[in-house]
Amino acid sequence: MHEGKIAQYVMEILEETVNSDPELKTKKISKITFSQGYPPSVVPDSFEFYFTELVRGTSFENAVLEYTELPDISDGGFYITSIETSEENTGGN
Amino acid sequence: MEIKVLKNVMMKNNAIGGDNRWRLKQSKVFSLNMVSSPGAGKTTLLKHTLGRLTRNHKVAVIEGDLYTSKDALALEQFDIPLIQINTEGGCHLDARMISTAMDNIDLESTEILFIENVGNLVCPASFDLGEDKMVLLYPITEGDDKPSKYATMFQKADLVIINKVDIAPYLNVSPEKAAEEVRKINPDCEILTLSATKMETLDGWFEWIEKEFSLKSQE
Ligand SMILES: Nc1nc2c(ncn2[C@@H]2O[C@H](COP(=O)(O)OP(=O)(O)OP(=O)(O)O)[C@@H](O)[C@H]2O)c(=O)[nH]1
Ligand SMILES: [Mg+2]
Repeated sequence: MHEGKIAQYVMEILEETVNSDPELKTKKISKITFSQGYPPSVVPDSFEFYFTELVRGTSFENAVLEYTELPDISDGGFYITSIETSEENTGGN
Repeated sequence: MEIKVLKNVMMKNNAIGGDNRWRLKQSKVFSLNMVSSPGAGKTTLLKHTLGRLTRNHKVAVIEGDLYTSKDALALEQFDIPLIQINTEGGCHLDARMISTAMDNIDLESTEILFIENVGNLVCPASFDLGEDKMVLLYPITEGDDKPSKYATMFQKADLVIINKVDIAPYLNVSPEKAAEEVRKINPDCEILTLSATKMETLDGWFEWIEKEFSLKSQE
């Protein structure tokens, strides 16, 4: 139920990451990988419901979302592990 | 091209929770985050607690509620700083909301801060507010199998209050069994058994608050 808030946090971190790298700024993002500590605190379906709304019109719009688990990390954390860029440019600058 | 990010999304909240904790420590405020399923008795317990504590402590309250001010109104009779937060459908309070609420409280002249979280036995577990102690109200009316079903909340609690024990005889539930179940999930927390509606059962709760408050003051 709290996935809306999580989606906002994810969006903030993604934007900070992309904005801190001039090259990344011009690329489209093809894939985002998340990892969950134990116990998992985010339900992917619910998360994507909110996330899809937030990414509309951004360079993350068509990214594939992947989830892995980190059973040994018992902080209940939700991590953005990596992002992948496609060769395609955003068209802007 | 793959870029490693490796950021815990929860840190967005927890970093602010950490700031809150720092502010509260600076002003020597003892803070409690009261969590439970809906209707477990948080407001009822707070009402009785304020009646007693405001005699010799400077107390402030942050009330979390989805849309209404009902709980805040129930506490209006007390002449204390009372901040209402409406989460507008959000199932939990987060650290940013508490930070903003704290801007509107004179922390320097506050000794004990109660935060009543939104009634929900799942989501608040993921959101550190910066509080000193998480207090979980567990009404016996919900059955004695809840600790293992909602394990994360029970694991995080510093104090579990088994509430509404006055009704236990009418239901097929046992406060002792409930306490055992809590122990299985969280061997370290303290457990109190009481009825928020009956003042005479609250001594253990008041003693716990005084004990924790004086420990915090000595830090
Ligand atoms: N019999 C009995 N009833 C109780 C007790 N504690 C609370 N209640 C009743 O339970 C109902 C809900 O109590 P509240 O104090 O509003 O519960 P809450 O946790 O603040 O509820 P939300 O804020 O909506 O999540 C009220 O009708 C209370 O009178 C108790 O110890 N015994
Ligand atoms: Mg209430």
